[in-house]
Amino acid sequence: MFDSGHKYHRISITKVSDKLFLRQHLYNFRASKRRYIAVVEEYEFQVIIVKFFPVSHKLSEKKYNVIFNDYDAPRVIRTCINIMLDILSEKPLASFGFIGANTINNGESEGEANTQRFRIYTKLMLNFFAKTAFSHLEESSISAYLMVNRKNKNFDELIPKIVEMFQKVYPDLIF
Amino acid sequence: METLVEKRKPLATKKLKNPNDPPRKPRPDGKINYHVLTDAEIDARRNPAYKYLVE
Repeated sequence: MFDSGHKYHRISITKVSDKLFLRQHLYNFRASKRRYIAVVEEYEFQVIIVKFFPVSHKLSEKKYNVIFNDYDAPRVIRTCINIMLDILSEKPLASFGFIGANTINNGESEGEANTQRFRIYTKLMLNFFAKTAFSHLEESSISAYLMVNRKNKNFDELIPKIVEMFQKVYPDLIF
Repeated sequence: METLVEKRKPLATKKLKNPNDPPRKPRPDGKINYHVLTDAEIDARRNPAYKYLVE
């Protein structure tokens, strides 16, 4: 499981006129039963957030929350990990983060703490990204995860700066 | 004439209770408190069968 992904293509890089949110990279890939878009958001301090959603739901507010019984999740997730590796080869000092969105299915909504996606992605980050290369930080009550790249010169000072930046970018995460 | 089929109630969105959910408490300091995973925690939680992609 999770040992191979789908073939993906970068379709655009857009500059964002925001102090903290710098660029948005768009990728697409065709999975076994549907097409997906992966959105790579590049923030200050070379922090990268990878998100993905099915093209069919691109206009939906719940595009990050839907779930399908395609039996293809491992390959879809591995594709996003491959995109992360691609970014890391371009930006060796990049750090990564994600929020594990809660699943909304058949009118039922999962809670926002320690979501199923958060539990799966966290396990994968621990399995694939060594503690010698990244410092792993988590906040399960909001299903948030950060991996700070140890190659950065001012690594120890970087963690609080990145955390502070995320509080500015996602103020609704604080409750 | 009375209908024999009852009108179906609209589906309500309900939160699924996750037994692993930590309690949601308001943050007194208004900050996100990330926990830095220790080496021991990482070793305990990772599956050694997986090979690292980045070391």
